[in-house]
Amino acid sequence: MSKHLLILALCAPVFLTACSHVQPWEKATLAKSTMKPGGPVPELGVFDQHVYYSKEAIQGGTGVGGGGCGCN
Amino acid sequence: MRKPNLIIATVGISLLAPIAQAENSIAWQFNQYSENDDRIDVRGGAIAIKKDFGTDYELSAGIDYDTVTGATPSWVALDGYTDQYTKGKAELATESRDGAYASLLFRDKKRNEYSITTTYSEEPDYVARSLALSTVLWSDASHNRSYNIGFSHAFNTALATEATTHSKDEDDTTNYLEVGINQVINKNMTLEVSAYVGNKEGYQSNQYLRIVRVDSSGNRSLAADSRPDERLSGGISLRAINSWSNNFSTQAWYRYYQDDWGITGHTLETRAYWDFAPQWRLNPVLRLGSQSAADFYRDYSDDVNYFSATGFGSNDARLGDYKTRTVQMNVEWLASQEWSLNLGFSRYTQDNGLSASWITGGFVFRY
Repeated sequence: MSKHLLILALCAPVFLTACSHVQPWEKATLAKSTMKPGGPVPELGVFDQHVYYSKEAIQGGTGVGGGGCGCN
Repeated sequence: MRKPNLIIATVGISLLAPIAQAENSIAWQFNQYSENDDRIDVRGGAIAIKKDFGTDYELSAGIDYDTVTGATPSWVALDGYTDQYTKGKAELATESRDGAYASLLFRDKKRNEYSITTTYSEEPDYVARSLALSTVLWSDASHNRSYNIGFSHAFNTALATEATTHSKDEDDTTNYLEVGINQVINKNMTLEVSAYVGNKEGYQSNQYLRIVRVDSSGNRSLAADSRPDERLSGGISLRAINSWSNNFSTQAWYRYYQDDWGITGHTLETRAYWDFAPQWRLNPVLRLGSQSAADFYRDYSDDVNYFSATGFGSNDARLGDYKTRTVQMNVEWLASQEWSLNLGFSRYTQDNGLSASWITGGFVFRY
């Protein structure tokens, strides 16, 4: 699995450079709230994260975390 | 189900959203969660505010609260025996949790963002505190690529009560680092690649669960759930967001996870936003996941579901091998430019028998 991760990590910069240069005035679509990772109502997804944090052993990868819980 | 601090997701969203629109808002959400087999029920809510101070400063703060009732799987003694046990349920005392967070974001002349967030929550048997720092650094004047870096430090205390398996308070600390690149691919698409690593030290056992240990003479007895006092974890995540038309966009997110307890996992989440009518938006979500079991986990139903007299051991299903599925539907009514109301229903299943449903709803007032 680590081999696959290494390949992915090496390919990522190549992929990221293969994109068009978008000017600021062309970003109307990108500026929409539905294009944000949290969506137009981030509060709606907060409780989902509570459930996953409490019911699954996998954590991380969703942004910088904090706090904790007694739900190990 | 005792729960993590609300801020975990909120801070993450702020880190991962370099294309953000400034606005002030007040949001309120309620939630109602129920598991199958009369297990856990949760009722709760949250209030969040966001206020801009000029164009360079943004303050976010909020409180959340919930009440948990129900029961959880546990070993119980067989009738007539003192050293024979079977899977049963342990009733949980009704428990309330209160939490709060505050976050300050600052933008410099290049519009790079720096934020600091602190959180605090408490319940009768647990106190959680954290401090997080994150930054979004633009690599070019057109803001087509950003480097996102975030670090958090959490300090928690499991409080000893009459019901816990420990007689004195136990602490744990977590340091977490996540770095990522967010790239604008074209006028309709962004891609994000992140790597994360976390290290948790201190007490990490379930303070209520017990396991069955068998000594060299074959005698069985109950003992406390026992886990290593260090856990190193990490992985990568990918997120692609694409607008297909003026009223339809999708988001796909994948995460790979691995830790030194022997757990590996994959998570894939897809969501869509469809403005299907004036003022109405539909948001279906499908999330699939899988994880392998921790090295020291044994299921209640395993042929060998007990542990030797020493060593780590847990029957906590969260550390087991299972697949998950979430099917969710949210609907948002954009009542006006200032007001929007939302309602969502989710169905969550694990192939080990656990299932849960929850409803969330609330409003957002933007001004």
